[in-house]
Amino acid sequence: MRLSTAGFHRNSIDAILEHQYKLSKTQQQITTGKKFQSAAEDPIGAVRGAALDRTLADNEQYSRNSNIVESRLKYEEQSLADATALLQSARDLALAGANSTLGQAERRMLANDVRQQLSALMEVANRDDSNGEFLFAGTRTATRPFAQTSSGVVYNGDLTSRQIRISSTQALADSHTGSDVFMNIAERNGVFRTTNGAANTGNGSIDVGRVVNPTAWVAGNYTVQFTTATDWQVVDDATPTPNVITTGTGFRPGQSINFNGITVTITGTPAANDTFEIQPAQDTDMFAMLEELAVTLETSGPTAGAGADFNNRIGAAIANLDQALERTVGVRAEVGARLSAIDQATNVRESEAVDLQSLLSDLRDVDYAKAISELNQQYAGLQAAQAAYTKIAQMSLFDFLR
Amino acid sequence: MADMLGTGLSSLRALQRALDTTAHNIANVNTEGYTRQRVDFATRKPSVYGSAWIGNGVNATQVKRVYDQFLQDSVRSSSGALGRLEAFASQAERLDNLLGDTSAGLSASLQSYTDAINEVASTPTSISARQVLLAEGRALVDKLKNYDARLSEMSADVDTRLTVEAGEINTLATGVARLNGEIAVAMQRTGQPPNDLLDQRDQLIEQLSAKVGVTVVAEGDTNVNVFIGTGQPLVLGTTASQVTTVADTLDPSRVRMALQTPSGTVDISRTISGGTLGGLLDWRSEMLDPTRNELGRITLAVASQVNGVHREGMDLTGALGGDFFNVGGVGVTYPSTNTTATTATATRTNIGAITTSDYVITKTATGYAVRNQETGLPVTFTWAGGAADPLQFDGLSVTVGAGVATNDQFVIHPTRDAISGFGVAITDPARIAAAAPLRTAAVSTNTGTGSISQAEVLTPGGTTLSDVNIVFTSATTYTVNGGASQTYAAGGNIDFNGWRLQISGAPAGGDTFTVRSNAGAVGDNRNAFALADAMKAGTLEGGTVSVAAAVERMTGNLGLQTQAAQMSRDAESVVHENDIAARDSVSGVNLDEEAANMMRYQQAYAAAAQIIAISGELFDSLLNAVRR
Repeated sequence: MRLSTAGFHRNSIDAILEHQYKLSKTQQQITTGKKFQSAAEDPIGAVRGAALDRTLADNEQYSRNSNIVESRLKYEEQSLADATALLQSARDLALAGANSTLGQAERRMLANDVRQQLSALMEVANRDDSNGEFLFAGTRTATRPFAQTSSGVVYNGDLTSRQIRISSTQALADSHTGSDVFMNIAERNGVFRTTNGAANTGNGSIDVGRVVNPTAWVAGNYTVQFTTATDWQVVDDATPTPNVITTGTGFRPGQSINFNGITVTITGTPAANDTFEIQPAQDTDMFAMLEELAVTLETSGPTAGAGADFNNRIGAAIANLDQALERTVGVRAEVGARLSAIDQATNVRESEAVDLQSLLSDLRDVDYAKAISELNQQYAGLQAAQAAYTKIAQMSLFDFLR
Repeated sequence: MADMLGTGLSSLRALQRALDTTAHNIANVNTEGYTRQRVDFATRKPSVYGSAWIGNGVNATQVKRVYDQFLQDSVRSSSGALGRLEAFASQAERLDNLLGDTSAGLSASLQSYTDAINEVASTPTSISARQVLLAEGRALVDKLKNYDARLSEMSADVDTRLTVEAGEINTLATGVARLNGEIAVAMQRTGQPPNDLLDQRDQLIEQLSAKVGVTVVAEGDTNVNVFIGTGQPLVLGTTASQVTTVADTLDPSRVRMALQTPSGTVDISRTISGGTLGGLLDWRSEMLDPTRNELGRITLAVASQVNGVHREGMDLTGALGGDFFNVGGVGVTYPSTNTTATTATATRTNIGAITTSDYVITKTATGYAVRNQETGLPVTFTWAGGAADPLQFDGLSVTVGAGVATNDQFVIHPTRDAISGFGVAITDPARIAAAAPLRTAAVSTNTGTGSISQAEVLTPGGTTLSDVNIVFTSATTYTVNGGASQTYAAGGNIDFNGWRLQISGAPAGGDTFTVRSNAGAVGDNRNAFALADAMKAGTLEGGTVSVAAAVERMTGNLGLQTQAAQMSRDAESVVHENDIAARDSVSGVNLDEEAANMMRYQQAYAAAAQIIAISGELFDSLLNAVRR
């Protein structure tokens, strides 16, 4: 086959240029550390890489979100611990106040202490987080959630908790509303409240009672009436003629009265015609509980002639505080569960991130060993092409024409 | 009469021609399109001496091109194919370089914007997080606008290139026509083909073919006729037609190719193929226009998705959210061929159904015809038949103004203008609607177990935020704000004031549920949360493709198309090189061969000169013999 001189030069230069192009591609791969620079070099890899990038970026966002939720929940956890301590110490004060050997002046001091706890609890309930957002205001985080009014403490926040995404499938509330924590707590034993009749003449006092059989309990107003000092009956509030639920005779102080699945105990000695009221429990709040306890300690005592009433009220106060403590324990348990959910999500996310990174690296990152060996190969190829070209191009028959 | 001197002289003359031709070959070793030439030798007519024929020497009968028409045609056709693929691939690479960077491209901007929404969702009270969201929104707008500007520059570049290429085609065509004439004259004068002129003409046709696909038909011995498109004559004998660019009647912003023939101007945009010109036109319709429309569609999807959710929310000032993004409307252009100045207004009714195509609406005698501008295929549409009734198709609603005449046309660009009007509508970070607009609650004194859901906004932007109380008049009936008594169904929808909620459980008579404006709930992130989810949700292709996925798909498609174009170009370039090598192996100059020829002719020339010398000596001998 004939070869034209111009064609020979063109082919040789084309081959050298091709070598140079490949060499520069490999060089670019090595300097950037990436297998491909634009989507055209590996369309499938580019799209898959972009999708993985997106998942990783989302993960990073979830991680930031988790930190925010975690920090806020830890603030809440601390506040709840403080609230628990305050309620516990108030309960201790109530127990101390119940001691019949205490004088009224000492009880007043205890009442002062209770008021201290009350204002400390207000401070806890109105705490804010590091961003200056109130912790217990729901989503009205710029509104001071709890305010003292003439009719007690009112809640000014709302009932919504902020949900924050911590994984593609999981969102967590970053706080509890003040209403969920401090307000709307069923009083006493949580089911019913007991009071001594206002016109009682004996010194019988009813305790807070308890529910023995929840299914037998029928919510309603009931009255324990002593027809004599030892005979009694329980009636409901039907009009005009109340129904008699149960009756008893031979009452002895400290005896339990059972009906409709509940049991109440009356201590002291009731007189004939004395009554004790049993009504469905109402919702109260922690602040009202402490206020009530303080008022009880201030205004009466077992020695002040209203012993029966005091016993009933101090018993109620202690039961209330137990309810409040139970609430804080419940909320703290939820906070703990959320914190552990965050930990779990973080673990999942981190191991997923490692997987994704290695996938992405397989997809996009240069295998240096391979690339450098390729570079050497291409370098040798270019050198050989150049050497061959210069050698062959030098040869010409004209050199021998004399 | 044969004689040695005459023979020697004929040999000297013939070899001189041969040496001249060899020198010409050497001189043109690097001339593009040059075909090596060869001298044909033939013996002269012999003379008769008695019964013997004595030769009379040699003649150089003809200087021939060493030429193969088939090989030349192959080179020309592969150069046309290569011209097209090179233009296509290099333009595709520009597009791929602009949009194909997955780490710094549109995907990254979109991700930053989504991250910023998430940041607002986790810290809705933070003004700085809101400012970042506005800044990222503006960055996204800038990025899309920048891309759109670059793409429209590329489109304008194509128009410029078309004009330039048309000029070059005209120069080449004129050259071919002129050479046709010169070759005819030369042939007439000598009866021999003018080799160098033929080379030049082949070269011009090859260059022409690299610019636009041509068909070459030889006419007689001297003329070649050149046709483009589907047989439109570019060169006929010694006349060349002019290729020009004219404004597109359907889209005045771009040009079309036309051919000015003696019989009038012919539109050849649709028919030309091959060559640089074909490559540019194909690239514009196959890659550039779809990409621009796809970007527009992505813009629409982002805007509609974000706006839709944003308008359901409440901002820090307690007002309902407005639009987050402004977006350009549907573009309508009017062909210059319209006989009336009737306008049409088009709106988008369903973002999920919007395609990346443009449409041409034509008024017919009885109604309208709608066709896809790219494919030319008819599009089904609904139209109630009245003059003021809108035409509805592919997520669009188009109302044609009064006074429309038959054959008037309207070109609808559903997505192209979306980006030019794209912008962030909000400047005050407090106006980002991160909160839900309403809050619901059960009154704490309720005795039943009924619970109320959150209120869902039914008509974004049209919700009334006034206080509403839902009071249960019995365990099974309720009134809304004291209205008519309604029967309670647990979990059933209660719609009022543009919102919807559900009450479930067993409410007791006298229980009350409240719906209040959520003003003041600065820490509420419900709407920002919904915004973040909306960015991940499917919006496009009937709600199956999220915006981020659409961006990735577009990038991937561009990459695939570019890769395919590069591969075709590389393959065609090998074909073209092989064609050239095959032609060169016949027609190319080889210097060593010429050196050998030169030696050959030089030696023969020296021998011929020796003949003259010997014949002189012979003559001298004769003279000396008779000198007495």
